[in-house]
Amino acid sequence: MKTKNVVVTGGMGFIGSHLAEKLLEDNEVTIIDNESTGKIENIRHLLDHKNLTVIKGSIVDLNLTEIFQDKDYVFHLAAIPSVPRSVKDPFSSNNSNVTGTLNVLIAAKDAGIKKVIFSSSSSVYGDTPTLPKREDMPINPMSPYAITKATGEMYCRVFQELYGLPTVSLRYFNVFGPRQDPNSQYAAVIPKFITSILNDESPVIYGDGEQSRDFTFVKNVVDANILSCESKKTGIFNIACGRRITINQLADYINEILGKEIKSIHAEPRPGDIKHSLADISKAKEFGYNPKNEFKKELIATVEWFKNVQ
Amino acid sequence: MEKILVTGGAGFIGSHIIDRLLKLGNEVICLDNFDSYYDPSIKRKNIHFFMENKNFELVEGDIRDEHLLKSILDEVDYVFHEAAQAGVRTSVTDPMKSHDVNATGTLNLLKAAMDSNVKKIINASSSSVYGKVKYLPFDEEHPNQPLSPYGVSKLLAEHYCRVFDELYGLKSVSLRYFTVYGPRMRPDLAISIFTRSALNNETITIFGNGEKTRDFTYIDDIIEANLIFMKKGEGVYNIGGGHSISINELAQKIIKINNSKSEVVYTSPVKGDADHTLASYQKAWNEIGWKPKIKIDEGLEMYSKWFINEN
Repeated sequence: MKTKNVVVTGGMGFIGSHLAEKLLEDNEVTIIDNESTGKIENIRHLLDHKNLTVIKGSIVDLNLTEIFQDKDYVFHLAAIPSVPRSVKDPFSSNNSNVTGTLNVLIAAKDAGIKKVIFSSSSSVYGDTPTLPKREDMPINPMSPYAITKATGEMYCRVFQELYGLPTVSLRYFNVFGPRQDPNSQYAAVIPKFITSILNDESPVIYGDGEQSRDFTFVKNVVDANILSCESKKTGIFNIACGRRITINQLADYINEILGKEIKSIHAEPRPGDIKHSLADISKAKEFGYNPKNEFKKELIATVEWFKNVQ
Repeated sequence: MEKILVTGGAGFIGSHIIDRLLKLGNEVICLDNFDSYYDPSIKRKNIHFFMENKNFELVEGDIRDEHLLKSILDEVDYVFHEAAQAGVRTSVTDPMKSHDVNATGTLNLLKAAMDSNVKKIINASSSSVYGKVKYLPFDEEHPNQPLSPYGVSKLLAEHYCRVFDELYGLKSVSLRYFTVYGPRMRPDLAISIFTRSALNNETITIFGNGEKTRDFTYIDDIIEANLIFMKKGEGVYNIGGGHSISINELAQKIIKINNSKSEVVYTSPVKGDADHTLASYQKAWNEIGWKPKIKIDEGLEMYSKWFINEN
């Protein structure tokens, strides 16, 4: 993608900042972020880039139609992440993830945006036993978070059908990489485990640790966003690696990379969490998505980043 | 005797539910914001007869008002949640409004109910949560691909009801109504518009070619279902008449019943409208023992009689 004028909502976040960084190489980028989970540190190294505009504010309140004028594409990543957080506070998830998304779509339609790329989540599949997950399977969202993402997808489809706004929904499977927040009480498993093991503390595993995830490196997610935007294709796509790793394996790998042998502690499974997750990624391959299976290499890069920021 | 809250209680379905609940000797609170989507004086009239009943209390307010809900729900046992921004067409023009009232409003209610002693919420849902037809009749396992923001907002409300049950133990059931009609029905719905036109021998206007089909459900069947599901059933259930007719057939039936000379004309179709709806009521019948009783011809006749009496 070159010489386009694009918006990244949630651009100070973990994934958003990586996407904004990549897009800035050849495009004008406007980041919208209310810094609720996003952090200015994530984009500090980009701030004096002449093609970057940063708007601090919420997608629920801002006049997005005005901001979207003359823009080509909107990458919509702003959301309150985390399943457990949504269980505790479904209201905030509804507000940011559904009301916010609807606000983005209405403004995109009114401003004549050419395509909206919506960040969805594998959690919409829920605990259906069939593996791997395919986009045409019935969904079964089990947490308020998953419900808000499933609803965002539906609004994307409805806006395309009713108003002719092209949309893509990308169902991310457990994204990890540099800049992922390890400190929030709702942090994802990889940054939490890395930080624990780095500090010689036992990582906490919910359940027996045999639950598995299709961990996806953030660089692949960035590629998927740009490729799907450039493509004529619309609709829902799984974005993953297409293989799964158990939580116990993950703890072993991190120990191995750091040359440690920290034992894990097991706790009760969390409500709303799913057992296994694995994607069929053949549909995304239609727009050129083609991730390499290099989990250890990606994990090493991630561990390196955490070592440096500690 | 139970203490029951009916949200949207001054509306078409809400006011019928209140009627029955009062007759059965319950204490009823009616919450309604008398939204101007259609003439609020119609809603005032709907509840006019209850005003003198000592077991009836009217609270004018909005389901999006969290404090108000908390104060009302204090001693309530059951909630019939009928309040909504109705109308597929309205939602296409203003998708934020249907989201705000139907989804966020329901979430607000669930949150308030969670902190109270409410035993169960009977949530009014809609056949529009199905949308794209994969097969007919719709059973509850049919995939959900709503075609309008209205359908999405109703599906989201159902999901919230379900997870509040699963995660927090707040009991609920969502009843998917299929095109409800009958006395006091909203003035913006096909059957009331057609009947008014037919009785005045005025032209009946059909959106599209009239070959879309609907499963029309008489209000008495809906009320019956609500009362049964108050004490039985969790999850989602279709509440439909179980028979479908095309809009063309509907217009002809209404013309015939009213001995009308109305002509039928056609105009452009409405965006977001489903092509076909037809309910399978097997789940409600097998598990709960509810099934529809009123056939379409019978229902249309009862409606016409009521309409003539009213006007």
